[in-house]
Amino acid sequence: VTLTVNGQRHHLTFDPRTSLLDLLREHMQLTGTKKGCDHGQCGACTLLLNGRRITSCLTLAVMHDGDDIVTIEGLGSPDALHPLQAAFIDHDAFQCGYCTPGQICSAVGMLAEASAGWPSHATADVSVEHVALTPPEIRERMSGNICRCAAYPNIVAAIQEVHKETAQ
Amino acid sequence: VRSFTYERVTDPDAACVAMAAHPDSKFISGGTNLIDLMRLEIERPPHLIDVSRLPLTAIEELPDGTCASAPRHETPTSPPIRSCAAGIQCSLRHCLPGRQGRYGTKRPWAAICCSEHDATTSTTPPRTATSVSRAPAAPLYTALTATMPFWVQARHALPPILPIWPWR
Repeated sequence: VTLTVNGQRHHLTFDPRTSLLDLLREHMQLTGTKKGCDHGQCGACTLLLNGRRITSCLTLAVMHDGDDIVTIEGLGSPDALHPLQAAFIDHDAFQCGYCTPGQICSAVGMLAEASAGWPSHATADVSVEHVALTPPEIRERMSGNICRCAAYPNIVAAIQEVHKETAQ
Repeated sequence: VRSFTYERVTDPDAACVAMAAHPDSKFISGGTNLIDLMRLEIERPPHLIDVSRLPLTAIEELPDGTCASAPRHETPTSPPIRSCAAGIQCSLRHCLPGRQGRYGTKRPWAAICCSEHDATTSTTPPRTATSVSRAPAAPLYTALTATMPFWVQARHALPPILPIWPWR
């Protein structure tokens, strides 16, 4: 299987039972993507697959031959943080930090969905082309990512700040 | 996870042929908890058919109304969906991205169908307010109960007597 992970092409051979999460963590040593529940319920394993967010524990790696994968390691580096990574630090949007890679990858995908005009369950009128990312909208769209430290207010604030900056 | 063989198909006919060749196999794509169930050995398919790359990316309008059936990432912003958004809004909420609809999570992406005056989803049909009508009683039963004292008639409205007395 050929995968492009964080801009680098990899030719890999593995058991077809391997999940995408296990491939990244156990075979490629990219441990930034976290294993939380391993049932697709907590969102800690969220990454970007072809620009869209996905819970990597619920998909087989063999299904993604030729796909482009971006993990938290590929979003930014310690010297050049992604705007969302910087905003999470500025707003103290974490405590233990275990869910943070998934939160940030999910927020990147969510902002792309919002800019593409996707409505959500919290959208009052789904027929509008551009949905305003209000705090209730952000909470609903990020509701697949659970934070046991309950840093939700700061996570919402960080995402809202990045959204406002990119909108300008 | 029990071992299985894996096959990727790229057109619907090939998917049907693959399923006919392996009747015990399961289709796999995004938005499934099949992998979750396979980990728990609730599902033990000997063969998996990957249908995630079928070229079903278009929203089709059918003669008897508008029928939308497409991958989930195409559905929210598709013109047929937006054109009937007022009628379909409640139904669409079941399928929108977020916790419920994210690729890789447990809730499958529903196909959405709506006509000019009605909007239903294939998975969660809306409830309609209809009066509940009981089946008419048999004539003999009606005649017998009419001759009974009122307290015997009322007994029919009470729960049945316990088959075993709770005390000795």
